[in-house]
Amino acid sequence: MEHGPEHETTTGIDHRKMLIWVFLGSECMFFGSLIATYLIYYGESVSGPTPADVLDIPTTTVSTFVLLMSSFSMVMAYSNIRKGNVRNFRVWIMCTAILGATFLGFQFFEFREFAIHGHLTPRTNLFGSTFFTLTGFHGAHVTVGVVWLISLFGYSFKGDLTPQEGLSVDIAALYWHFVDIVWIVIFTAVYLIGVFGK
Amino acid sequence: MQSSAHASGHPTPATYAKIASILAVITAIEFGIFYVPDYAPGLKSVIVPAFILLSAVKFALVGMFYMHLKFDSRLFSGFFVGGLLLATTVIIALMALFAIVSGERIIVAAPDDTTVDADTTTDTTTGADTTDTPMAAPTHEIGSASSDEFVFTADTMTAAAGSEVTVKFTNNAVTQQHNWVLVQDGTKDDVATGGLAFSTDNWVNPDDPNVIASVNLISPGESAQITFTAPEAGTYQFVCTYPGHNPTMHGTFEVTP
Repeated sequence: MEHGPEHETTTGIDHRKMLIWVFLGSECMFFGSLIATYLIYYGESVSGPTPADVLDIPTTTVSTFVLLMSSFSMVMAYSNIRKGNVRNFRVWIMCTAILGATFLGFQFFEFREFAIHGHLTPRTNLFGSTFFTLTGFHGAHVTVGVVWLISLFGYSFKGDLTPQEGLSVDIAALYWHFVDIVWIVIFTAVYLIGVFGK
Repeated sequence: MQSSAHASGHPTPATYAKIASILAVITAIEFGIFYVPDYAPGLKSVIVPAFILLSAVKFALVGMFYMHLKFDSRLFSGFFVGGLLLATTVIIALMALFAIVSGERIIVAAPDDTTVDADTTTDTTTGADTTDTPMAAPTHEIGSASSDEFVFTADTMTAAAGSEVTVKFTNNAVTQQHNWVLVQDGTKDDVATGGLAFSTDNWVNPDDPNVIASVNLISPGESAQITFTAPEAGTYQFVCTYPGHNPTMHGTFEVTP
């Protein structure tokens, strides 16, 4: 977490911040490929279950709301570290981690329901393969994000996070918001349109 | 929104809270819209565009305000929007490509409409037999198409109820593996789906009550056969349960009194 003094760059932009944006740009293409694969095979399964058979819109709407609110708590954490209010930062960053973990709980519950009662696994049909691959990779990203947030919470007790070094929080926040907007697309393409277009 | 930003160019907590409220409201609207066709079927055609529009608004709000793209260096927007445009192009291109391929997909009917009757007798001494059952009864021969199309060479077979039936199945395909499974009428897809978890059991659930008899999965050029007692009179189905074959690779097995 020690960042040292700001260094000069030809663009005038910190390399670490440049790196996270390049990374997020590449992540767009990564998730774009997974979403494309899901859409290509949408309705191509030769046997059920179909999205309309298993996807639960009310439950997923709640989990979507939880993830959106985690983005709000993340910006509040960022805002507080910029002001030097480490105590409030800890509250908001922990809120974000808890909301992220709650989202993962919803996903675990959903996957378990599909496997046990919906009889849908990645091996069942094309829908199962593409659905679990897409949402599974997103869930993995959320998991990494939660671990990252908790580590920031821990570092705050070491006195490593200062307003001048808020870049660490900024980068984590950008990653977290990216995970959020990917879910915005997944919720619409896979859940809302997926079930509606049955 | 710009007026409520810090001097540093970042929004204030109040702005963040407003954005959160808008995001929550949009999500609630999406949930409500989902059920609109139940009460107003005429609006069904506008629902999907509405979902896409609302999703785009949420995406833009998070990107502009929470990720600070509205306030940060335009270079960041370039990286992000560049990746986004590439991803969108990939999605559209792949969907267009696969739509074209799907449009050309042709399901070919069985090359001949041969009916294999119960009194057809053939030599069954060759081939990779999968059963040791003596072949005392007439043998019903059937095969897969000589190309890799998912069809049998016959779409109807008949036998007398209670008679001993021997079915010799030959895989004439080029690359595809196939099996032959006799099932209760109307259950071919259920049996195929149920067999997906049993790849090591020839894609057939050994405990599936709808399965009456089956010839194991065989590779191109191989033959296999099975002898069983014909069930009671009625209509049954035969199908290849290899994943993806059951929609087109099936036929009717008539059992006469």
